[in-house]
Amino acid sequence: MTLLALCARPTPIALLLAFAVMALIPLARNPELNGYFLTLLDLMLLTYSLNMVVGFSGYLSFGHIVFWGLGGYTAGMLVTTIGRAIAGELTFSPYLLVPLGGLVASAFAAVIAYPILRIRGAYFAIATFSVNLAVQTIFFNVPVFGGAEGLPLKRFMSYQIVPAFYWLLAFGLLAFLSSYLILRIKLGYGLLAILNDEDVAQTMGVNTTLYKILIYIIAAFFAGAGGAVWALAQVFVDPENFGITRSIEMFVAMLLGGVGTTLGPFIGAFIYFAIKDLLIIRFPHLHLVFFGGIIMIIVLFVPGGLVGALRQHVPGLRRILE
Amino acid sequence: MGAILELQGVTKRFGGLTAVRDVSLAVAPREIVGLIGPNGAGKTTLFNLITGVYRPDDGRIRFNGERTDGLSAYQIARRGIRRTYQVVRPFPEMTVLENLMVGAIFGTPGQGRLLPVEAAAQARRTLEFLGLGGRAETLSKHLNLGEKKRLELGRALTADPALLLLDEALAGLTPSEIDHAVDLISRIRRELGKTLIIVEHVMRTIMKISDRIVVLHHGEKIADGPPDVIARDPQVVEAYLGEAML
Ligand SMILES: Nc1ncnc2c1ncn2[C@@H]1O[C@H](COP(=O)(O)OP(=O)(O)OP(=O)(O)O)[C@@H](O)[C@H]1O
Ligand SMILES: [Mg+2]
Repeated sequence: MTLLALCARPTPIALLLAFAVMALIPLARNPELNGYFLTLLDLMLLTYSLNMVVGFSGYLSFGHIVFWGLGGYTAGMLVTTIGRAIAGELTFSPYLLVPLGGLVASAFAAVIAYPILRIRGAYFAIATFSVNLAVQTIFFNVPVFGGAEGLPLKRFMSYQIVPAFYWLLAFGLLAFLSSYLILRIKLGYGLLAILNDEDVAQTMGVNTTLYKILIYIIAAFFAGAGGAVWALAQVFVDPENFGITRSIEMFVAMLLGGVGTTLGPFIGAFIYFAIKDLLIIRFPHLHLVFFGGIIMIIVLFVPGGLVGALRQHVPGLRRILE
Repeated sequence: MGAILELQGVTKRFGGLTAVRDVSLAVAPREIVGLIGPNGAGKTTLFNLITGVYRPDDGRIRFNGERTDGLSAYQIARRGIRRTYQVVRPFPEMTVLENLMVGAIFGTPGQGRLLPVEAAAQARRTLEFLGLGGRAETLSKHLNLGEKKRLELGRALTADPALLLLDEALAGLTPSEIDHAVDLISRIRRELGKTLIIVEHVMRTIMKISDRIVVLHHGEKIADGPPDVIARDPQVVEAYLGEAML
């Protein structure tokens, strides 16, 4: 019955198809194409993660990249530790460590969630940003983590982009399905209530603290898993994995696609890359500046992104574009 | 015993200002209590204390015999208290139906707390009851004031609470909307068996629908009794001096 209801909806069907088509990409055996979509899927997964916090609960998680970086370092530390122990290349696929990257990110989220999610509005944004900076500084300065040079992994594993691609694709799909499911269960309704008016949500019986913590932990898992795949795909991780570039990119992709929707991060990642390609050809080092402008334009004029704008202007699409 | 809600010596201070001072009050099941008093008397603050938005500095609050002061707002809500807001606060970016569904999904244990599918059905029934059936798919920010107030009432009702606190549910409504709302309130008690505390400035209306009137003035309870007695109470008339009483 539930499965049937799911199939009657165009959004999940379209996205399942799209993911299936993307699964064919490595068959072309084109390394450049694989690399392009690896980057795109990485951003898409991060955007799904960000959207769970920002789009579902309304909390502006500006330091969200911290989970991605922690996932990357988890994979990096595990590979180097195991590699040193057996004095050679890993005897199993290092990508099997990816879920651990997600779990470590979730554990970190669980630790900081209670104090940090008590802070509302702009102060929450600043707090998350500060947490990211602090963590980045720690990894920059602690020798065990490779310090500024980071952790090269190539002694312990070989460069393999195709498994990385499929791991990101699988987690991207999982992130979409989770988003879709969350919005349909009690957790989703509680989060939407928090997004709309947290105080009212409380007087309506929503355990707001618990719900915010839950979504923060779930979102961190996906970002952490993505970061782990990325580190393994690059065979390298360094403090730049907590860098600002991706933080901006995922916000732009989320805003372009449609905050709070399950289709938005998917579409947003594609639009982001289309625009980025156009801009990079003309303005090689300035594209981030343009994206700053794009953020402002979207927030001011199209706050719902593409999905939001379509839903608003074409009546009847509300049930179709989710 | 017997009271569904019981306040004993409840006090709330904001800095130097005592917004609610030593208020004691008992409300019986299925009673409609009108809470009146001049602007700033402490009516909304009293609602905030009962619903756990604020904790009393002094005194006790019991709901169904259980101490609730000290519990957080969501825990109190789950025991079966819902409210509406003086300045309406629907969830603006959600549809009318979704607003009511939140009420049902997070309803009182054993009564509300439905799965989303069941909650939608419950929400639709309540919308019919309120005469809002045609507005189910409208974003609530697009409703007019009268509809927003009914939405808040509906959002409270889908939770199936034992006690409803209505903070100026009639203010700003047109005369025909007021008639409709008054009719709804009496049906909420009669057909649904709810207990209500109603804050209202429209004297004629509150006197008509309440079983009992409680008067607050500068945070203190200055009168408590049947409407016709309260209307003649010299202390009450004095509190309202300068304001139109009836
Ligand atoms: N959060 C707060 N901080 C400081 N003072 C407050 C706060 N809430 C209420 N007050 C003050 O407490 C007093 C009682 O306010 P309250 O809103 O309870 O009155 P009211 O009876 O509901 O009035 P009205 O009829 O105007 O709605 C007022 O003097 C108000 O300014
Ligand atoms: Mg008030």
